[in-house]
Amino acid sequence: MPDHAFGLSTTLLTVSDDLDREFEARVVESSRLAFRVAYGVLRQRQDAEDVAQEAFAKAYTNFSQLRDRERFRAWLVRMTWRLAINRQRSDRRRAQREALQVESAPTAATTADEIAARERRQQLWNAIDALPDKLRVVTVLAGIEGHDIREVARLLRLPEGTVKSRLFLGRQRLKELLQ
Amino acid sequence: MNDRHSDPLIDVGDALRREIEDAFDVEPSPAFVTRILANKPARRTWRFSWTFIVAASAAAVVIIAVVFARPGRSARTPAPVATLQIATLPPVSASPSVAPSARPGETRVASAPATTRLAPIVAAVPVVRRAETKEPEVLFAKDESAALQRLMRGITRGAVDPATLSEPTAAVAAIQPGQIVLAPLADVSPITIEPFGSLVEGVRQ
Repeated sequence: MPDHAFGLSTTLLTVSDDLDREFEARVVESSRLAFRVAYGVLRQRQDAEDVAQEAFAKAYTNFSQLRDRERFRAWLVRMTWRLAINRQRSDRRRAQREALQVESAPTAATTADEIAARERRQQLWNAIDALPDKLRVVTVLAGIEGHDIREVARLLRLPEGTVKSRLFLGRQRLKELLQ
Repeated sequence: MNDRHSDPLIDVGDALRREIEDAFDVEPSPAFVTRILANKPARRTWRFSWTFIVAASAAAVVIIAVVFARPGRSARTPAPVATLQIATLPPVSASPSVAPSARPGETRVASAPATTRLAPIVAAVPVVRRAETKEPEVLFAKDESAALQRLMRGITRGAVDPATLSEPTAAVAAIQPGQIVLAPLADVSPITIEPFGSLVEGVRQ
């Protein structure tokens, strides 16, 4: 192989190494966000991790176009949400079965307050699941890591006014469902 | 965060907001990040290498095509040389006394710049060469050659007027095609063939 070909491959590998380092940094700072987005849909820790990992794998293959931090986080959130929704829809029957198993798990060691809190949490999840998709994603993202309206708008690439109205409607609906 | 607290439109209840935030306050397993980085798809390097291989193969094909195309082009270039040979062939040997001595030179001079124009006519070259080798040479009798040389010398010195050469003589012009009279042949006695009368069939002599 001629010298210039070696030079070209070395340059490409160096760029690849730089991309890898950047990607690792993004993984460290965004892994919790992706996990929580997936968890907000699936509510199964292992499933959420699997979906988040799948989203990161897709992000890795497209990382040359996603080097900007904000763009990466927005892309990651949308991809994770979509993958989680797909997983939820395809595994709905399995998820229901697991939820029943969780509900029917022995609670002997828990206090009455803990049981009440768990039931309340379950009601909340059911209410969130019952929301329309547009209200649901805004409500979930606003509930993760203290995201404010501007942050949610950036992640979803929506106008802040749209996010604001959807967040209000989502919480209003949740309040009604929980009452 | 402050947006939510200060905006009464979306502040439907701090209790609900805290409840939602608590519901999402779930941490991934400690090995989650490690698992992501460990299971990072190696597809990019794989894709790069295949891209590089495909590009290198395409470049090699192009180079080979160029290398093999060049000799074909250079093989066509000798054609002008062949046309040079053709241009000098017949007139010289055909009539050394009639053709002026400058004619071959003229053809050479004229054919040299014409080589580029004649270059595309490659297919005609072998045909002409065959004609050159197989055409019988035209021969002149010595006395005819001498007569022609004398005629040319006379024309050159002005002793012979070339204009008169194209006009037939009066005697020749007077002859009409129908009046041509053949001279009678000398008396020749007819040949008679006598049979072999003394021979008897089947008898050995």
